[in-house]
Amino acid sequence: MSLSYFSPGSGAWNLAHIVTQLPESTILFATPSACSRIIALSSLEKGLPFHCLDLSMQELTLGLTEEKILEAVPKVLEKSKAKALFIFTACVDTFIGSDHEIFLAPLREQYPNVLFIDARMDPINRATMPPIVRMHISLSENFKKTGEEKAVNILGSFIAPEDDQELVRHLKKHGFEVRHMQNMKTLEEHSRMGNSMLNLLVCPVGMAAVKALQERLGQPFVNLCGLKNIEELTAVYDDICDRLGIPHMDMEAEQKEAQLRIGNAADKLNGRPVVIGGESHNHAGMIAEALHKNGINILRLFDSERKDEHFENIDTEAVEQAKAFAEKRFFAPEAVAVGDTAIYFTGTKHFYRQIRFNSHFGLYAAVKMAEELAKAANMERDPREIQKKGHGCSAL
Amino acid sequence: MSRLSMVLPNLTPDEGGAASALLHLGGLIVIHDAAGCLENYILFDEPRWFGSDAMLYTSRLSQMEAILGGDEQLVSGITEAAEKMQPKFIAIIGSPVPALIGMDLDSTAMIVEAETGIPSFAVNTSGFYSYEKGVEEALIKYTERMGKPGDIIGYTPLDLETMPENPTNKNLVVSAAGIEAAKLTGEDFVIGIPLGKKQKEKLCGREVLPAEKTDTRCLVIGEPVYAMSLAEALSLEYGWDCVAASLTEAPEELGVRYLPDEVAVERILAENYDVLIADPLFEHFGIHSGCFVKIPHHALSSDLFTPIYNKDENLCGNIKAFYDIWRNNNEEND
Repeated sequence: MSLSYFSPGSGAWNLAHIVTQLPESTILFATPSACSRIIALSSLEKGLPFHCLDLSMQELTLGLTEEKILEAVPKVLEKSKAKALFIFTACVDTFIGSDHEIFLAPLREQYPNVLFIDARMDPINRATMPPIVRMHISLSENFKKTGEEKAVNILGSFIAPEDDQELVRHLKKHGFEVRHMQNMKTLEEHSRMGNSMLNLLVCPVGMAAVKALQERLGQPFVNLCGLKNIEELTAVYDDICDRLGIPHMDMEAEQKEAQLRIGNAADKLNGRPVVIGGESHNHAGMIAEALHKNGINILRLFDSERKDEHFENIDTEAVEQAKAFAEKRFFAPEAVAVGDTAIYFTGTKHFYRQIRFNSHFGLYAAVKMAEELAKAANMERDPREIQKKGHGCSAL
Repeated sequence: MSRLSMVLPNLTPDEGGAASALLHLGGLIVIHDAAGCLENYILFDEPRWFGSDAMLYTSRLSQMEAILGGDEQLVSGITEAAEKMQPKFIAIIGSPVPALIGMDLDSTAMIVEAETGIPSFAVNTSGFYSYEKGVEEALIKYTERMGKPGDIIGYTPLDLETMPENPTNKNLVVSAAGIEAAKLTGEDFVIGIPLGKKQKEKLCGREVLPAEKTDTRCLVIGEPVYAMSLAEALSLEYGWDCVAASLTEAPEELGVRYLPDEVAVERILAENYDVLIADPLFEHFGIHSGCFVKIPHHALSSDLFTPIYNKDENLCGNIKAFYDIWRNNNEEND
């Protein structure tokens, strides 16, 4: 057990945001009082309701969790009029072994028109699925299959894809609706994502969810994560087009266009050093490599998961690294940075805030980052912005 | 007892209070948790974290380590870090899981001290209580091992945006959580924060002539010593009839009403004060109809609102002026 360090450039998403992926829903946090503060503050910032049931140590150890939840839910539903309710427990629940069916079953019977979702915020539990993977499964459990619609779902991310993404453009051009939970306005609309013809997985944390959907609804999926080169990307895009019965994309043209746009961004950056934080994208290392190949001066990559010969990798969690960087903190104030850790440690006022679990995939991931970095090079911002996470995060 | 909160967030938890009290005293601070507790604290409750050199870490406790007793790994992780950092002291701060399963952090601290030769102690916070309990225990433990933390005792940015000045020739206790540590020093101390001219004089032990009493009723909700100090300052300056209240408990002698939950808050707000001085979030109760002077309390609303600096020399004057304008506007409308 080595100690871990968290810089001010850590984190972004929390559950208060994630649960908004399910429209008309609200949350009940049944935890020690320490755990729910972040949720309440994030909810207040966003003008969202919150309901925190603080359980005492005595109540937890005496096995009263289920009873207290059953007492609280009617008050929550009365106030919120929500159609779906996430009931969260925290790390300590893992050790108490409370039986969630004891409260879920009677609630489902008492409120047949309300969707109850059993959810856990337990980062201590590393033996089973991480909380975020389970959240994706929970969020997609509302998908229902009542027919087939000319649509595809983008899954695994929490931010809807942009229209400029090459596959999104191609799909829309051929009459397909591109659906993402973030854009669903009602629970009913959200459930109709079960009628989409295909699921496209853009972040690995959604893998268990797409597999579950395949099993439950027969919805096939295509994995767009971790593609290493243009050949792999083209093969996957061709597969998607074949499955949907639409013409293949002109990847040569797309690649030329992408290279042109990245090249333009590189010209605007004019050799200015760029520092990339790993939390800006699931595949930050690959994007950094693509930008580097197209003429952008990547100074450093903060990403402990990928080792790359081109630039120095920094594991910011290591105590000695953290101390070392604390001592020479603000080591590149002239750089342009993306990713909160990179923004913090460079000390730059020129940055672009991008956070993980976005829908920037394919060629667009590199294009988007390059163009935003070029824009950021001419705009000064206050680096303390990165402290606005759960509440006030400009990236959300 | 469990309570359902739907208007106010919970206060900073006790482990956050402990870390906040110790952060810039030169020690190696380890929150023994799965990382969520530390993250919550640095992201929402520690305004000094940006640019800080403080040695604050998490043990990243896992379920298996908790079940199988990962004390050896915790000790080795701390020892490794301490050898590199050479802190003045080492503090191990508890969180819900270690508290629930009865981890003996005091013994762990003893072992760490034996291995490193650095004064080490545990702060047995649990995440089930609010920050003032963590601040109190942290300061007690620190004072016992390292001596008093300065002549201003009990300061954290959770209660005050800036460290106040000490106009007295004694130790100044600026929060209820600092009282026990102040007693431990064996030195004379006064309890209060200088927030008004006359009140400052009184803190220094000098006689003051209070203003003539008026019928303006004022409620101040905040940390107990802050609320008490501001209530007294306004009373001395302007003769207001002031009541101090707090979401945290305080010694009876401070004369601060305790508000343990949202029901108690609703009750006190319904007492119809002319002036309410409290965190802006209290507006969400929709009960108070008088003048509302919004003073953010970081331990409650984090940085949702812009802070009002306690070093404002004219804080009382500004409050009075605000009330006078509000009253004139309301009388005109009537």
